Parts: sequence; C-alpha cells; structure tokens
Amino acid sequence: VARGFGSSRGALVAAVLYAVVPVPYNALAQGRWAGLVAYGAAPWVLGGLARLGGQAPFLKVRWSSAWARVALYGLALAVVAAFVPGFFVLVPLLGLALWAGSLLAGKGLGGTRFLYAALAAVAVAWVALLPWSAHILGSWRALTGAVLGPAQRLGVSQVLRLQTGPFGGGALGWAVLVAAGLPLALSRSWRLEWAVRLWFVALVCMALIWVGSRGWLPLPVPEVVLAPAGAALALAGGVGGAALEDDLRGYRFGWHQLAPAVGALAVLASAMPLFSWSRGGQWDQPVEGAESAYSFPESGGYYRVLWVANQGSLPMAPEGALGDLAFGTSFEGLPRASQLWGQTGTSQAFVLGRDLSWARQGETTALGRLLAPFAVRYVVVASNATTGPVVAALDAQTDLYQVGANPAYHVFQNADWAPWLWVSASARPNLERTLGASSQSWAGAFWLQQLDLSGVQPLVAGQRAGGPGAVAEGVVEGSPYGELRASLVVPSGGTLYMASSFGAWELDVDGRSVPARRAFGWASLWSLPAGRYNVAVKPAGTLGRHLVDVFMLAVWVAALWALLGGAGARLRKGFSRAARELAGNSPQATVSPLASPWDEEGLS
Amino acid sequence: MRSAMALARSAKRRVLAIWSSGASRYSVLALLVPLVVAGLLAGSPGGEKASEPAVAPAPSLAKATALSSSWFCAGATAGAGSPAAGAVVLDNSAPGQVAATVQLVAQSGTAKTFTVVVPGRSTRTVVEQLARRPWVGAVVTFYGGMAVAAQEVTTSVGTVSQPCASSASGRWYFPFGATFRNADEYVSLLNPYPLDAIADLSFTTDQGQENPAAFQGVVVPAHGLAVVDLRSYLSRRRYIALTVSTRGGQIVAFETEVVSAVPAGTPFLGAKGAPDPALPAAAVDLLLGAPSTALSWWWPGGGDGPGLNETYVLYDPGPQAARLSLSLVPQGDTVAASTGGSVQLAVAPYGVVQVTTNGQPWALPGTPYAAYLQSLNGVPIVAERTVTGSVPSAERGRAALLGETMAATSWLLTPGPREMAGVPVPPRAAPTAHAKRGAGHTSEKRKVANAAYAKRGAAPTDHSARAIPTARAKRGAAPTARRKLRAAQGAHVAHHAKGTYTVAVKRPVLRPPQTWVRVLDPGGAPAVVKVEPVEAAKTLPVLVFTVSARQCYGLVLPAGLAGVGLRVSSSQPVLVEEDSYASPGALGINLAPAVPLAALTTPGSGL
Repeated sequence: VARGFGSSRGALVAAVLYAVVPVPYNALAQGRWAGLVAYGAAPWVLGGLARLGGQAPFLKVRWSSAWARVALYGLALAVVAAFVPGFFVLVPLLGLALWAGSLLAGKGLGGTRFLYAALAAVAVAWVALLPWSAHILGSWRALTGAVLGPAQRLGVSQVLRLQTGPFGGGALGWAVLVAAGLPLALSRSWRLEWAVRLWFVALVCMALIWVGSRGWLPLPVPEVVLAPAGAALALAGGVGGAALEDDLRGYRFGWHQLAPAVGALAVLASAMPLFSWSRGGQWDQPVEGAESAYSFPESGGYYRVLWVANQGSLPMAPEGALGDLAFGTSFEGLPRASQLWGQTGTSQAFVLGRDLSWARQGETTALGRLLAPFAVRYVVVASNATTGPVVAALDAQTDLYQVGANPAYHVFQNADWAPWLWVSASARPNLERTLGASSQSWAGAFWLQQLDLSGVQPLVAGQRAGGPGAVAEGVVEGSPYGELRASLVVPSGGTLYMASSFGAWELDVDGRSVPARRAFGWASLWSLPAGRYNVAVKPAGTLGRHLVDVFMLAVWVAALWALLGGAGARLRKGFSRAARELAGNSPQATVSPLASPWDEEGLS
Repeated sequence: MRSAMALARSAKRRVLAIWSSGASRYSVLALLVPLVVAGLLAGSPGGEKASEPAVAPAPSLAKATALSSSWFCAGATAGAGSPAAGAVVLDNSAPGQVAATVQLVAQSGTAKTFTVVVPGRSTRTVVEQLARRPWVGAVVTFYGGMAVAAQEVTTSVGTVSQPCASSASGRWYFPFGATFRNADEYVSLLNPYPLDAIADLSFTTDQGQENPAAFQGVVVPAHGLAVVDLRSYLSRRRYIALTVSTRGGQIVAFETEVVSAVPAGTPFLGAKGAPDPALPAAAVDLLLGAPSTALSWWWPGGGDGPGLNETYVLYDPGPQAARLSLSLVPQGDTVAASTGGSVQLAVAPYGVVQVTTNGQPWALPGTPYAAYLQSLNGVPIVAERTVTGSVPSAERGRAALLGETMAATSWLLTPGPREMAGVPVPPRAAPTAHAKRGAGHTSEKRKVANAAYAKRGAAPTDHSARAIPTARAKRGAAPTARRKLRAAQGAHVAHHAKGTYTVAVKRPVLRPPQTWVRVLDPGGAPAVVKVEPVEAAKTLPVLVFTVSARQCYGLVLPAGLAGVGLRVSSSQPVLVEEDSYASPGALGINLAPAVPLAALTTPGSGL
C-alpha cells in the first residue's frame, strides 16, 4: 500500500512501523481474535479506500469505470466483515475521516469520493453476506460487540500509544507517533495532504476508542478500532519517507535537515520494545486455554455449557452481553470452531442474559432451575477482576456448585439441569402450567424456578431409553447434529421436549409430522400419545436454508466471474483511459514538490 | 465591479496559497500536540480500574422484585424438648404472600422438606422437629423477596433469636467462645450445596493457637450438617476464637453456647484453687459467624453498669498485628465533641484481646452509647460485643453481637423471642430448677462470683495485647442529670430527647420485658428514621424520630411492637440493632442485628 506513495524507503518505514505497533500483540495477549483479523485487514482496507478516492498520487478513475473496483473491494470487505462485523460501521467512518482530512488539507470536493466509495463497498459487502448480514444489522450490539466496561477504560496516553493491553507502554511507545509525525513538519504538496488525511483517520479512531472505552458508545473491541489507526500512522510514516526524498531538498539549511536522523532514531526506538515483548514467545497469553477448563463428560444426556467472560476471553463469538461481559453457549463441551464466527442474538440469548443478570443482582438463588430449560449443565466463568461479581453471584446459587481445578476458570455444575432432549410424564406436578408460561417474563421465571426438571428422562443416541419408571422405552439412534430416530414404547403417553428454538426442529411419528407447541415461550414441545411407534427428530426447514445458501453461492460465483472475466477487461480499459487523461500528470511530475497537482490548479 | 471580483479572486488565491503552504499542517499539529501533552500529564488511568465490590453482610434481604432468596439456619437441636430446641421464624414483609420451601437437614443430609405459605406482612413459625436427630439445620427458599428467616433456640436458660444467613462462605470467624464445667460450645456447619464440603477449624485460646486433629477435615455432607462440640477437645478454655475455613466448598457456621445451671457448691470462675470452675450466669447464646474480616466495626447499642458487664472481643485472624481504636459515642453527643471515650489497642497476629468497659477510665458507665472500632494500620479483624447480666443488674444472661460493617436506609428486624416481649408463652422444661438456683445463692456469693467473672474480662487476657487509654476519655463530661442517675444502682438510662433522661430499669422497681431499637447515624446529615411493624393485621404504632448526624439513639419499643417483625427505614444510611431483655431477674438477653435491605454503603470514618 505504501509503495503507492512512490518511495521504497517510505514503504520500508511504513512496514516497520506497522510491525511494531502494539495492536496485534495486545490482541494476542487478550485472546481477541477480531483484533488480529482487523490488524491483518486494516492496511488493505485503508489502502483500498485511498486508491478509490483517486487523490494524488493515485489515479483518479471515473465512477463509470470504477464500479468493478468498488465491487471487488466490497467483496474483500465482506470476507473481513464476516469475521469482524464491526467493519460494516468502521469503513464508512474511515471514509468520513478521509473526507474530513481532505477538507482540512484543502481538497474537500475531491475528498467526497472517499465517503462514497466506503458506502458503496459496505453496501456490496452487506449484500454479499445476506441473509446473515440482514440479521446482524438489526442489532447494534451484535454488530459492534459488548459495551466496554470500566476494566477496559483507556487513558489518553494509552490511546495515543495504541496500548490496549500489556504491550505498548513506556516512553518508547511514543516513538511511533514521532516517526509518523515527521511528514506533518516536513512534507509538501500531495504528501502533506496525505499526512493530514492519515493523521485525521488516526485521531478519529483514537477519539472513538477513548469514548467507547468509557462505555459511552458501543464499539467493537479496542484493537478493531485502533488497527486502522495503526495503519494510518504507519502509512503516515511512509509518507514521511517519501517527503525525506522529495521535500527535504526544497528547504534551506536548518532544523529540517535533522529530520532524517530524528526519523531514523524514532523508527529504531519504536522497534526496540518488540524484542522484549517477544521474549519467551508467550505474548502474555495464559498457559492454558478454554480446552483445559474442565473435562466435560459425555454421558447423562445432551447438554450445553454456558461460557461467561470478557468479550476477548470468550472462546466463541458472543451470543449476548451481561454488562461489560459477554456470554455464549456450546453444545456437549467445548465450543466448535464455527462458533468463532459472529453469532446473532436470539430470544434464548435474551432470556439467558436476563437470568444471569438476575443472579448478579441477587434476585435469585435458583439460577440452576432457570437454566435447566436451556439444558445448561455447566457454567464456565473465566477468572479475572471483571468476572468477580458474577462468580460471587453463582456461588450464591443453591443449585450450582463449583467443580474443576483450573484456577483460570470457575466451572459451576448445575445440580438441577435437564438434558437437551427429554421425555416426561404429562401428569408431572406444575409441568404443564410452567411449560405454558413464557420464561421470557418475570412470572414465567417465577414458576420455572419452582419446577424441578432433574428427574426427566433423557434421550441419547446410542443408548437404550428405559428403566424402572421410564416414560418411554426404546433405542435411540442418529446424532444431535443431524437427525435422531427412535423406536419408542410410551405406555401412558408423555411429553417430548427439546431445548432448541421453537420451529427449528420437527418431529415425525411413523412418518407423519407432529405439530410442535411452544414451551417456556421459546423451546419446542410435542405431545406423545400412548403406544408403540417410530419417531424422528430432525432440523426443520433445511431445504429453504440450503436453497438460500446455494443462491448466495451462485451470486458470489457470478460476481467474481463478472469482475474477473468480461468486466475485468472493461476495468482495465477504464484504467487506460484514466491514465491517458492524466497524461500530463506523470508520476514524475506529481512527486515533485514544486509541481504538484495543486500547482496545476492554478496556485503557482 | 471587475476590480472587486479580481480582488476577491486574489484573496482566495492568497488564502489557498497560505493554506497549502502549511495551515493544514498546523491545524493537525494543533490537535495533536495538546493531546500528547494531555496524555503525558495524565499517564495511565490507574485509578480507573474496576473497584472491588462491597461485601454484603451474611444476612441481607432480597429486593421485592426478587424471584427467590435463600436462608440458611443452624445451631439448634431437633424437637421441642431437646436441649436447644429450634424453630425457624419466617417473616414476610412484602404485601403479598410468599411460598417458602423449608428443608430440614440433619448430619446425614436432607431429612424433611415441606412448603409453607407466609401471608403478606405476617410471620410463620416452623418448629424444627426430626426424629432421632440431635442437631438440625434448615435451608429456607422463599419464592419472592422481602422475606427473612430467623433461627430461634429455646433452652431451659432462655431463648435467643438470630437472623439466618442469606449467603454461604468459605470462611467464618467467631471471636469468642468458652468451655467450662457448665458451659458448652457447639459449632454447627451447614452445607446448603449439593456437593460435600470439607472444613478445617483453627483456634486461638488462652492456651495459644490450637488445631486439634479431630477438627481438621470435617466433612460437611451435601445438603447436610456437621456439628462440632468444642468441649470434647478444648475443655476449660477461658476464651476460644475460631476460624472455620473450607477446602473449596462454601458453608454456613453458627455457634451455640449453652451455660447451664450450676450445682450448688460448685466454685465459680476466678475462685482460688478451683480446677474445674463454672460460669456464674446461666445463659444461651446463638451467633452467626462473620464471613469476612473488616477494617471497621460498629455497634449501634452499648452500655454497662453494676452487674452488667460489657466486653469487646477483638480477634485478629491474620498474620499481621493490628492496631485498633475503640471509641464510644454517647447518645446525644458526637466524637467531635470528645465527650465519649476511646482507647487504643494492639492485637497480636492470630491473637485475641478482650476489653471490658466496666471500670475503665475511658468508659461511660450507666450511659447508653454506640461503639466504633477501627483498624489504624489497615489490618482487618473481627470483633464482637458481649453482655453478661447478673446481680445487681436487673438483666440476667449473656448475649453476643458481632459488629456491623455496612449502613443502609432500609432494615428489617426479625421478631425477637416472645417471652422478652411480654408475650405469654407456655412454661419451659426446667424453669423451676433455674429459679431455685437463683434463690439458693446468697447475695454475698453472687457479688464474689460476679466480680470474678467481671475480672476475667476487665483487662486483656492475651499477654501479647495491651490497652492504652487515651487523652480523649473525659469522664467528667457527663451531664449532671445523667451523673445522678448513674449513682442509682442498677439503673439503665435511656436518653429520649435532648435533656430528658428516663430510668428504664431501676432496681427494685419491676419493669416488664424490654426491647430496644438502637440506631446509629454514621454520616454527616441527620437521619429521619421510621420504625413500623411488618404485620398488617394489628393496629400498631409507627415510631418516627430523628437521629442527629454522627449520633446514636435508642428507644424502648412500646407494647405491641416488641416481639414482632419491624421495618426500619431511614432518610440516611444508618446502622440498626435490636436488644431484648427479659423481665428483671428473669433469664434472657438477646442482641440481634438488623437485616439490611437496600442502599448498602460503607460508613465513612467520620465517627
């Protein structure tokens, strides 16, 4: 990206500066996957916008010729936003900052292209990620993540040094700013314009994170916002390299001639801390990860694990927020890799969050029963200062007790848990009344906490259902990740419950679909008549989902074919035409401090 | 016109030229430089880290909107005729009815579970009855907020009532206990969780630090109870301070002390050449331990007098010595006015200091006061106030109360023992024997015995500790009226309003049982306090009074308000306790902490 400024030394400086900004190392230390992705993507995102903006030294391409480039940029952005949804918001903000920087540099009209390009690219990315993107845009919190709490509060000096974690403090942390600040003192012409734009981008990102870290604005994790700031500062350093080559000779002898030495020292000083950070290779990460939290059992019925941690320490994408903490659930033990992708807030997440909130406020001592309908058998809380009140609240629950020996995690077992799939006699006391009430309401939760579900009969694949006093007998086969089948004998009828969203699964009895009822306001419940029959429980509406997947795949293939095939030729033609239009502005001419594009606009 | 346009064009060119030559550069620098300076000046936000949450006291009331709240009770024996017969009092201060599940637990685990519905603003009592189980505990789950459970223990030597615990802990502290010929000390450990807990008990006694092997690794079964008889391994200890710690799990710990009647001719504590002495005052005491240490402790009520011995027991369970200041705040005065006394104390690591106010130059005999204990060197401790009543005082018995650590604007006082409220109760198993014992002693013997017992607590018994009276003690500062009243033997003086003193207890004038509500306002603004009955069924008076800033106030509850659940609400955070005294000569003192509801704050060190 920095090579676009026409200086190989500048590109080297930019590369070094970007390598030594503490953003990725702090993201690594705090387990913030999104921060690492943002760090990897930020130079390309910023560089793409810079090119689309068409301000010198980049070629200005007419919109009619640039659409393919915008589309490509949008598709690339879609890939990034799939991992870090915050980029849907961040990219327009970067476009706005570049425009505002252009205004400050006296290029206001031309600068609007940055904003238009950013908005167009975000629109392309949003379409490319449908239908998921439609859902995530409905929730600001799902888009940006949890509100940062007091523990993540950053001071001005920390923000300026991009210090979001253990790395980046100390006097040498200012060296990046010194190196990036040189072009402001030295450069001229388009280099000064770009220095101003890039500094404005950095300052906007820093201001955002300063505000966001105080909980005044919901923002993604700090590294996601500060990664573009780091990229902007590094590029500003690159511009400084170009300015040393081209602008320095335009000054008479004076303090400007000290700039190369100062710049070199600053780059060197900024790189020094990296050696101490990398010592030991641990990057301040915990020795063990979530996999060592607890040895989750594989018996007793299908169950969920509820994880509560800081947003960065959660081993999955958050499903909901609890103050400045986030939570998510995994099925049968540890989370799967696919759960690292952005998850959407569901009604279950709302109820789980509210239940946890009640526990934290001391308004219940029966959280285990409230979590039982979700099949939550374990609650895992990462140990740190911010999770202390949650641990204390869970300690106060009479139906949760601590298990496990890993000091990095508090693992609570739910004594009143109920499995994910179970059958029960319909005549159970309070069962029908409580199942009918919505646990989303206070009244529903009130009845639910008085309902003991611990005696229900689980249905597990590979195990024979039955035993003394069993509601149903038979062999269950299949998998909870696909379809479960069973040949059941139900002597006196019963109720089949599944701790999944209402409508997400369907039940076939002897080949006929049985309508589900809503349990607790969100789960699925079926009445089982007395008798012997074959049942199959399978995900509902898979055909529709597959059709949408196939359609979106086709759209992607078509778009890529159009861009890289026929439309690519038109794009290249457009570039050639733009090059001809700018024939008078040869790169040699544009890099001259005395013959900049401004000069051609009549200033000289 | 043309020249004007040319001028405008020229000006525009000049502006743009100036801008291009560096104005934008300076505008960014103008933004950046102040930020860097601010950053350098501000540094890292060291003070912006998440603060430690305040630790709520073990009994605290759930909000009205709560879905459920749990209470853990122990320290009683099962059955009406048992040595320390237990009953759980369920007090619902919410307007609507609350269902409660009561699990009675024994040493073997849950023994009995039943549901009780407590109507709105009323009380239900559940007798803890289990066949062939000596000790019993109870886990009470209210399905709703604003309800509290209290443990009542009835013995042949009186009845006590204490709020149960609303949370478990991995550590519990008891500053004081004693084992003598007629004094038994039991520690009940209740595990309300579905996983066994293992507890270790460590002691500081008059014989030093003790860790009997039998009291290590005590298994407290899931949903069960373990009871430790301290006298079995720690007999004839003048004082026992106890730390209960668990290896992982959380439990609730109560201490039950029963001082039974003394056979005739038995030498009392302090008598020369008595290898196995007895305590002179028969009593029963129940105490919920302190789940944590603290830097400061408050007692809204305090007082001593002839025959009424008051002792503050200070226990430092940690490895660092504590330097402490104990201040007495007389009713109607402030520390700022320096009318109260104060004393500085040192407690050795793992040590115990007992400070008896009777006879101390800095004390305020015959004057009701509040007490405030503060750690001067940041070493947290646990502290308890004990009151022993014997001849010539009208009060009989012994009671203990841990200090309070938090102020609140809303409190609940659980119903106290009924006989101390003048409510007729059926006669107990052995009241006659007790009456005979009292009649059998000569007054001379009683004086000697009482003096000996008082002497025990008159000075720090731990040789590592010392009491340092300070210059702040001003005995002569008491008003004349109070001094006159103090001269009356056995008087119990209450200050009802400025300049008005009432003799609440004065021998030989008989008075009915009394229940006092003591309020301390530790803040800088006066508090308007309202005391009202929880029960809605009766037409009972509502008391409203003002407690001046940094002052304490105590009042005797009128007939009808004693023995019932009370709600205390205040315009400012205050501390509240309830003291109940049986009729003169009858056994029974009960000091009970109030249960806070909302707006818990750590009182400032203004006192």
